[in-house]
Amino acid sequence: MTKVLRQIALVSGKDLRIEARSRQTLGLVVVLGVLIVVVLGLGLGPQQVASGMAATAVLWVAYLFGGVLCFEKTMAVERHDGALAGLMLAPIDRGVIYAGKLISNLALMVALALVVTPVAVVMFGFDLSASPFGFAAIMAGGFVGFAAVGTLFAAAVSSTRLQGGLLAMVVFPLSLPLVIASTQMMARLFGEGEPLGSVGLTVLIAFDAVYLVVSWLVFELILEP
Amino acid sequence: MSATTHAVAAYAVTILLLWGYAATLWLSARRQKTNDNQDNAGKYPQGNPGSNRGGSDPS
Amino acid sequence: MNTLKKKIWTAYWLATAAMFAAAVAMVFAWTPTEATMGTVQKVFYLHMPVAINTFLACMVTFIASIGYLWQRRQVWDDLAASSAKVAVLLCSIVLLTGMIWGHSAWGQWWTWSPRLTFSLVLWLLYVAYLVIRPSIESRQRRALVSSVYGVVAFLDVPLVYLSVKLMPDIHPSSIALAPEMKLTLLSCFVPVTMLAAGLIAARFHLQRAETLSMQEADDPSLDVIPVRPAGGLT
Repeated sequence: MTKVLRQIALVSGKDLRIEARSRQTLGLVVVLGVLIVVVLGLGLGPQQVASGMAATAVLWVAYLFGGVLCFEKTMAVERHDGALAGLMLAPIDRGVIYAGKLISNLALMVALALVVTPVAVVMFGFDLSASPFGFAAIMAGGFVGFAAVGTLFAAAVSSTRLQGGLLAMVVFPLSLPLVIASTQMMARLFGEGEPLGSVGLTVLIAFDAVYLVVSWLVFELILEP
Repeated sequence: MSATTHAVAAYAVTILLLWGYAATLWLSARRQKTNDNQDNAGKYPQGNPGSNRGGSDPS
Repeated sequence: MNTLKKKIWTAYWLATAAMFAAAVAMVFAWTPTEATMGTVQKVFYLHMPVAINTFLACMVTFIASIGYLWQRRQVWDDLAASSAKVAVLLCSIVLLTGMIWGHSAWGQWWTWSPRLTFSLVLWLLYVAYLVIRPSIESRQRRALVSSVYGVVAFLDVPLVYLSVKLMPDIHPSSIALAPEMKLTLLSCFVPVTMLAAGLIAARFHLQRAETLSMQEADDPSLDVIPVRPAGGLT
């Protein structure tokens, strides 16, 4: 067990070290996220912005687009110089590669969220103080599911030439239940002041569980140099 | 619009789409000729004498 | 296709068309009008069977996708693609008839009620399936990506259902049906299902013919050998 954990840490550590040294993806993604928030803030106008509820939708847009870029980049790293073949030849389970990639993607997304969320909170006057932990829990549930789908399909799609729009096209429709569930929960939590419902959390947890298990099973079939 | 118009419109849309698609499929199948010929045409893509006119060009 | 098969096929379509026409005639001439909703409730007799068949078509895609992942045979992918196409067609009909019904009942073409959102998301899921297919050039890659998508999209369906339950609802959850209405529903359900199955089969034949002619042009053995690219390590 500890061996597997160490292997996962090695794979994701490698990705994060590359990212820490080049700072390519994170810079791009954070600026993109802030841009999305600003553009939507300008587009919605003062009235809608003041309602406060627009913020969750805006945040999801920023996370979705930023997340897809992260997934693409962490897989694109492996496309250079046959790195993926090297990774596949390493004496580790394919599931470990998946878990490692998933963790590096999640780390990137959390970094993105740490910058973009405060920006949106300030610009949209979104009052987080009602339930900051509820917000964090919903977003964490959302991120795990989204990254699980994204990591799986990034590996499947990245060996085709038309990457850009394609990954978004694959991942966005599949993540819709996450977006619906979390925005509805946010609306209840912050709009009506209800506590976190168990139905909503069940949806998020079910989503995460289904996608983690399916991805773990299928990733092996999909990974080809 | 009355309720009857709505109901009739819904049936018209459904029939049009379902049977329209069926008709499109039938026409494409006819253009491709029957499956037998298609198989032959596939085996001899350069167009053997036995295959039909449309056989060697599935598009 | 030999003559017998052709005859059976023609008979199948003639029977479907006849039953369909009979069912529509039955809906308008014989079935009693629903008391509270009036004539527009007649949309229901097509709306529901088509909705159920949408699920069945999605399920065929799901099973065929699993089949492809398991056996790596192009046939499965062709079946999955064909039934996904029919699923999108059926789901469009569900949305359109639902919108017409909604416009009559609530005075609006669209409301963000759970059922409507559910159908819309389902439609988007499978439209995306059809859209991503042609943008992947390699046939094996396309089959692989779309079969994984086919599996995941079908698993998404209950999740979408659960998540839309969080939204406020105005859709009728159940309608009390008189015996005549149940009979009408059944007599609509049979031809619609036959039609859906026939469409999947017809589309599948077409797809098969297309694949075979393309495939044999570049490699005749691809359909037999399980596909695992043997190329270099890059």
